[in-house]
Formats: sequence, structure tokens, C-alpha cells
Amino acid sequence: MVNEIHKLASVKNSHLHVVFSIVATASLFLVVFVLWKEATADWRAVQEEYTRWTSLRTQLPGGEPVKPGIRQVYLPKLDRTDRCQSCHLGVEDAAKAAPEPFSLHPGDFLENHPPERFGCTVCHGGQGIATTYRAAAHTPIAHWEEPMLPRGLIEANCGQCHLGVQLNGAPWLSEGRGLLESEGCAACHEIPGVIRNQDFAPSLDGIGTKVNLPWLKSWLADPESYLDYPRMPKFRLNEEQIEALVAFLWKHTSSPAPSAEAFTLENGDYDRGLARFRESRCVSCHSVEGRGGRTAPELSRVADKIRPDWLYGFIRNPHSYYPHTQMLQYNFSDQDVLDIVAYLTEEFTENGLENEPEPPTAPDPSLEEQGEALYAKMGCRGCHEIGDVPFEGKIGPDLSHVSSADIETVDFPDTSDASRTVPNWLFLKVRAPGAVGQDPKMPSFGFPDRKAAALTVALMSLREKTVPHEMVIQEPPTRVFNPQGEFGRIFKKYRCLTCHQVFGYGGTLSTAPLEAEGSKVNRNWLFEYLRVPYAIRPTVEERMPRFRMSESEARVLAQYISSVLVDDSIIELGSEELSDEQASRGKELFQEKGCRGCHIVGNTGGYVGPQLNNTGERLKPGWIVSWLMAPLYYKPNTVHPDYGFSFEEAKTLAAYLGTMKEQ
Amino acid sequence: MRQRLILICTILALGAVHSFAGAGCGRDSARDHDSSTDYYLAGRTIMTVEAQSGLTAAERDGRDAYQTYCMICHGSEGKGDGFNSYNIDPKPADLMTLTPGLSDDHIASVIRSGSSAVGQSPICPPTGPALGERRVQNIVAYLRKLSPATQATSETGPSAGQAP
Repeated sequence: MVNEIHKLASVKNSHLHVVFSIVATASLFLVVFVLWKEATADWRAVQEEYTRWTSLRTQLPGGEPVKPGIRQVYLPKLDRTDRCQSCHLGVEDAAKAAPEPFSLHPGDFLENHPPERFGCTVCHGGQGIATTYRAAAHTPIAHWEEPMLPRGLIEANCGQCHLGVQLNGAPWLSEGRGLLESEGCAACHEIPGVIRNQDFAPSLDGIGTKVNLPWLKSWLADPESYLDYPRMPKFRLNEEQIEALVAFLWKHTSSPAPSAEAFTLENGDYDRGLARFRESRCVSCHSVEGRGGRTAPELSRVADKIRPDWLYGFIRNPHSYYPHTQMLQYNFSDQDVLDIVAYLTEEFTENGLENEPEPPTAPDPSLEEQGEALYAKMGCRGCHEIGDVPFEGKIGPDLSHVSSADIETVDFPDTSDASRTVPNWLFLKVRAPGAVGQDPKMPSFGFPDRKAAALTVALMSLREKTVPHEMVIQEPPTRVFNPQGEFGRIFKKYRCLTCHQVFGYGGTLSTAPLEAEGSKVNRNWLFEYLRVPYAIRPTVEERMPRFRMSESEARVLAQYISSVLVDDSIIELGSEELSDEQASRGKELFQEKGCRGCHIVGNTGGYVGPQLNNTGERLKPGWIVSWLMAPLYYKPNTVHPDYGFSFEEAKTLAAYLGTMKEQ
Repeated sequence: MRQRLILICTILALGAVHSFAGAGCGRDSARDHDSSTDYYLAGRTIMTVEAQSGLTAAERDGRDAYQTYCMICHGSEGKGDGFNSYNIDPKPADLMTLTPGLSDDHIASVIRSGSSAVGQSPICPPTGPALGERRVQNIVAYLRKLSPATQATSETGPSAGQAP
């Protein structure tokens, strides 16, 4: 029994010996290997190289060689550990002309994003914890979720934290985001930060009374047949589909009825119409052959598209046709409108299409139904309202996390020899939507490569959020300015917000935001100006239309603006508080600073800023003082120099400018 | 006991294999930065567009600032023939012939503090407060790109120190 136990033990021992010897050898081997690997790690060679590069500096006082070791930034909030600076030693302080990977970080990005707070990979992508070139994912690796973005696309990562459209230092992201908004992408897609604009395109109610039928067919087939840069994309429709859509659209001709009473085009006069067209500054908003405003439709072939009786009714009373139109209500007489329509129909046609409205054929209910189904399927309702067809949600995929899409499951074009990556997929899809996927619904926008690339950058910024909420920078939402009462009615009648902004809300055409206008200009001047506007800046074409506003309307506007649209940071200063002596000192200062280089005084001076001849009538002295002391505060992007004037100096200039009166 | 030992051995062996594999990957990687753009058509497009300008990021920023603040008088090519040059006396300088002989510091001080800072007429205004130092330097870099300096610049430039 005892023997047996010994025997068993010895057998066990001999087994253990074998096991132990294997383990010991393996451990020894492993230890040696690990030490060898540590000693020959990539980053060591890189750090030695950097020391060689900076050896010149180490001989200078204060210079010292690089101490070997991994350099690591640990960012618990971002859940990142970045070791990039183990090799990229010069990003903050490079030896001059150092090559990669030692070069200085370009731009001023690190000033606002110090690496000790932000690390590297939150902006660049890649695997921060890695210490070899490949493991850090410098180049894309299959199935690697977050490879480094190349220089061209890197702005996409700015968009993780920076929301809003315009971002200085990220021009491509800004351009792409601008396109997402201006091209109406949100009509079909859910895109964070881009809201579907219900007034993006006109309602199609009554389209049969508005447009010529041949135009409508050619427009549906290819919008570029009518405009060089149409807003509506091309839907790749065949003839049957166009017929069906037209039948459906024609069903909704009834409302609103054209105001064709006593309309005879022959009574209009081309020359008078031209005069009205010019005086009303139509090209401030509309373009003619690409020249003019971008707010309203191009007019160069408008007579091929729109029926004259509809134009007549619309110009007479635009707000009854489209309550949300940006077009203002002019105070034209009926004869004026006839003249304008006569001018438009004669001037703006190429006669490429038959102008005669075709009588709609007998209604075909089955065709109308087909058209209605097509209208829903193509997502037309995303932009165009019609009848009582409800908006039933966006027809395109949700793009909120599109850059995190699984590349294996998307429709990647087989014909393309581009690598199968998410940005390539987005680029190809945006550039030629018809070529990606089977029977794709997305219409063709005809984006050139440049715009498609900018859109790719913007789309690549849409991903599942990995940054903490407190790091997200969002522009404050703009306050909607919606004045009420008599002022509100007149303000909206003339659609002031089409061009002017109030607290950042409104159009960008005008150089004069209105939120502090009452503190800037004299009420009497404003009253006169509203009645007969003129160009204040010699370089800016006159764009404020002549409204033919009644005296009472102008008075209400001037009164409200001067008492409500004011800014308390602008000082109040009566002209009687300024002396002649101050004015003469101001005149000297005006000469001394070379103000004439930009401003016209008398008949001479520069064409950069507003002419100053009637400043005494136009501007309040307090505004001149506040403006001269802090131009960048009142207009951050102004080119007006900040001379750092003292209060006294600014007052002398205000006194001098106050003496400039034309009457 | 025995099972535990085998487990440990297995883990160690796997670790060793993994380390070898990792080392292999690290060594054979191509370090060609440009090739990475081939994976990204959009990135390549953007790089091409940016390369067409022939300017670095700093110079592009300098160009944008120049076009906003300087071009109206000094002209799109810096020849002193901008739109506003015909309205002012003295005429704006032809930067293409003038700047090669000036130091960076001299040019920067004109941009920053106006032409009166170097004893010239006051018509060229100071843009330093609006631009900030980095953008002032970027304009200098852009002007150097338009017409490179003909002589040693920076601290030892000919006009440095002459400014009143």
C-alpha cells in the first residue's frame, strides 16, 4: 500500500518535471523575446532619429536630448489613450524643417486644442494606444472601425464636436454642410442639424394655371434643359412616368384661380415695364443669365415657363398665391404690372418651347392614380406641397450615423475599382446616385467632384457620438423675429427679412442688420430713405427697391425702428453736446488717419466705405462714437480699421462728421 | 493543478505567437502617406483642389485675408492696381516690386499698424486688431509666395528698425 503511494508520487513527480521544464523554457524564451522587442521597438528607432535631427539644438543652451520612453496622454472623459507623440515628437515644438513624423502641427489648431486635453485621435482617428505604424491604423485596414482620416477628409472629425454650418479652419466641412442645407437634402433624409424647410420649393397647387405644359414636361425630364443650375435634381423619369405625373399635377389646377379679369397683354408697354423692372431692383433677388441675386428664381427664360396671366396676378398680389414667399408686395398700379409682364414676356424667352398652353386632355383617372403613386414614391412631397396630400415622412435613409455604416452591407458599385470604404461609397453615391444600388430612388444632382467631396466630408462627420456632451459646441439658435401689429404688417408686406437680418435672423443680402438701426440713424433720415432709397456705399449696387411706400407706412416703420430696434451699448449723444472746436480737431484727425482713403467726402475719396457727405443727417453722433471706438465689437467681420480711438478722439470725429450735411 | 499549469502554458504560448505576429505587422508596413488617399476618392479630390492653388494652408489663409483687407487697393496680384487705387493719393504701393527688398518684420508692421508705422502716408490702415498676429504673418507668407524675397530677411532686413 505504501509502495503504491510512493510509486504514484514518483510518476506524478516525473510528469511535473516535464511540465515545469517546458514552462521554464517558455517563460525564459518569452522574457528574452519581450526584452528584445522592447529594445528594438519601432518608436525607439524613431526617437533616436529625432535626437539626431535635433542634435544641433542640444548643443545650444536649453536644448536636451529626447528621453527614451512612451509618451502617453490619458483622457478618461474621451475614453482615449493616445501614444502618438511617442513618434510624433515635434508636433508642438519641431526642429526647423523636420520631416515626418516630426514636423510641426500645421495651422493654429493646437492653440485651441492642446494635445494634453484633446489627444490626437479624437481629431485624426486611428488607434491611439498602438505603438507601431500599422497598428495605429495610419492607413485603412479592413474591418477597422476608426482608421485615421487622410488629410483631405480630416475636417469630418471637426464636425463631431463643432455643430452648426460655418466653421473657420474647416472650409470643406463648411461647404459640405452648406450644401446639405442648400440642396434640400433634409427633404428626404434625417440629418442632425439640418431641418426640412417647408418652403424650400413652391406649392404645386394650381400649377396648371401657372406653367406651360411643354415646359413642365421638359423640366420633369431634365431640369437642366431649362436652367444651367436648377435647384430641382433630375429624377431620371421615362415618358410614361412624366405623363402620369403631369396628369396628377393637372388635377390640382383649380386653386388659386388666376386673376385674369380684363387682362390683355397688348395693353402693356415694354419700355415702361423695363423702367419699373429696374426701379424695383428685381435683380437684387432674381438673376438674369446668372447675374443678380440668388434668393429668387432665374428669369432669363421665365416667359417660356410661366403663363403671362399668372405672372400678372402674382406680381399684383404675390402673398395670396404663396403666403410664405420671399417676394415683397409692391405698390404697383394695374398698368404698372401689365407693363412689367409685357417686358418679361418679350425679353425673357428663347422660344425653344411652344408657349401656347395646351388644353388638358380628358382626365384619365388611372393615369392620375399612377401619377399620385409616383409622386409619393419619388418623395416629391418632401419639397412640394400639393392639394391635401399629407407629408408622410422622409423617404430616404436616416443619415444621423451614416459614417458608421457597415461597408459590407451597403450597395457599393461593383463597377468601381475604388477601394470599398465608407467615404468612397458616399462619394460615389453623391456624385452619381443612379449608378449605385438597384433602381435607386435618389435623384441626380449633377455635383462636380469638388462638391461631392465636400459633401462626403460633411457626411463623414455624422456618426454615433463618442465625444462627451459638454465638449459639443453648438451655435445658439437664432431668434425668430416676428413683429406684430401695424409695424409687423408693413414689415412683412415689404418682406424686409428677405434681405435684412435682425439678431441673425433673415437674409444676408443687405449689409445693414436692423437690430440696432434705431440707435444708428436719425429718424427723419430713415423716413426719407424709406420713401426714396439710394446707395450709401459707392461700390455696392443699389439694391434696396423703391417701394412707393405711403407716407404713413414709412412713418410707422421709422418710428418703430427708432424706438424699438435699439442697442443700449451705443451711447446717446446729442449733437448740441459737441462743439465747433471739437469739430475742427476732428477734421484734423480725419486727415491724419487717412480716412479719405476709403470714404468719399466732397467729390474725392475712396470707394471702400460709405460716402460721408450727409453723415450729419444720416447718423446719430452717439453711434459714430461707439462704432469708432469698437468697430470689431459691432461688426466682427468689418474691414473698418480699429484705430483704438479714445472717447475724446471719437467725439471729435463725431463732431466733424456731424457738420457734414447736404442741405 | 495539472490543468491549471496547462492553461498557463497555453496562455503564454499564445501570447508569444501574438507578439511575433504583431512584430511582423509592424515591420512590413508601408510608410507611404500618399497611398492612403487612394482609399479615399473624396480625400484625393480635395487634395488635388488644394494643390492646384500651389499654396500651403497658411498661405491660403493669408490669401483670403489679403483678398478681404488689401486687394481693394493693392490689386488681386499685388501690383497696386486695385479698384480703389484710382481714388487715392498717394497711390498704393506695387507690392510685387517693393516687398522683395523688405524684411518680413517690416511688411508685418505695415499690415499690423498701418503705413504710418513705417513713416509713410496714413492711408493704408492698421489691420492688426482685426487679423491677429498669426494672420498678419500668413499675409506676409502669401506675399512672399507671390514675389519671393531677394535678400536675407527677418531680423537683419534692410528696413527693420527704421520704423518710427
